[in-house]
Amino acid sequence: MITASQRCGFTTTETVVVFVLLGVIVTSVGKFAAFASQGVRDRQLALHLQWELDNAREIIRTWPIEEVTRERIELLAISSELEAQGLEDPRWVAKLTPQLLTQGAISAEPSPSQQDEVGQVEVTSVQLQLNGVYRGQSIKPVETVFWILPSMKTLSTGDSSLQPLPAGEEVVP
Amino acid sequence: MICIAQRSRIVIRRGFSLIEAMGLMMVLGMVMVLVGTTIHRVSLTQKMTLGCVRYSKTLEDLRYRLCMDTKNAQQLEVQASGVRLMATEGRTIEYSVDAGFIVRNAKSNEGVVIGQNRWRVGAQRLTADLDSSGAIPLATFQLNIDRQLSSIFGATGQGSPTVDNSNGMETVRWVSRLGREAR
Repeated sequence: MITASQRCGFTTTETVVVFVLLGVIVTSVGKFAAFASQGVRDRQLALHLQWELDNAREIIRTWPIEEVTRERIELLAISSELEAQGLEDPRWVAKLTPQLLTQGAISAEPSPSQQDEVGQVEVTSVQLQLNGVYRGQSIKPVETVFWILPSMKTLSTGDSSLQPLPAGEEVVP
Repeated sequence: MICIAQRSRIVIRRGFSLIEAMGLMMVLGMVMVLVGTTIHRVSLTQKMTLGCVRYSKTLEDLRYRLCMDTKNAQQLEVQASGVRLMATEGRTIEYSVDAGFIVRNAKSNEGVVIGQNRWRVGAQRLTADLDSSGAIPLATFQLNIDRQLSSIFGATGQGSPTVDNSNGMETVRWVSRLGREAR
């Protein structure tokens, strides 16, 4: 007669425990892999969000200052790449605030004559946010703040030296 | 083999039976398959993560250089192979696509190459568009990327996280003002 105390093999309980442990380990590693993979996607999305914000800032800065309004900014087109990456309902939120800045704060390297002219300039502060929904949750808005100088009102828009050249045309410096 | 003492309990168990051995081998096989699959997946994930970080840095570096060159330029010319930016002092910066690389050639007034940079991003095509309707000309660059060419996600681009379709293509768009007008 064989008794349990003298068996050399695994009992059913031991076998079940081993399988459970194995399952837990495999699941954990699998979850880690999925988590890392999702982290990479999130990183890529964050990079594209930052690019979108930089692109919008550059576009807004090319507008004549009197045309820079909250309504126009919020109508800016958003790249379809973001939606392709899973960002839903992307939208701009803008806040324009008139501000008074001192001359030295505007010019990083003011000339001696500028340093003498201690005055205040009225600028427009643009706070730009990109919102959206990602995987069912609202993302933390990507945000930037920049200022637009009123002196740009005088900038001409028809400077011929800044026109694009036709493809293939020889350029004479 | 099992030896059983007379009238008593078992004495010694010396080995596996054929059924036990087969069961053991099956279990071991299953365990090896599970562990192997998991290790392979972790390895792929690690490779993808490292590749993606490197790829992002490379792209960001390229974007920074391209936008800086555009801000320093006065004219933009779109060519079949890429774009050419003419700086104020007569220097020319050319961006072109070469076998998945974006190549930046800085040329002097005489057309001599004085500097070259290369970024491996799996580039297929670089185009640009200039919009002069605003107060400042605005250059829009569009870079078509084939991640299979970038080789950072393996030969097949496997595991690429942001590819929007099955053939591994991606498009990025960067916008920059042309010229140095402060704003």
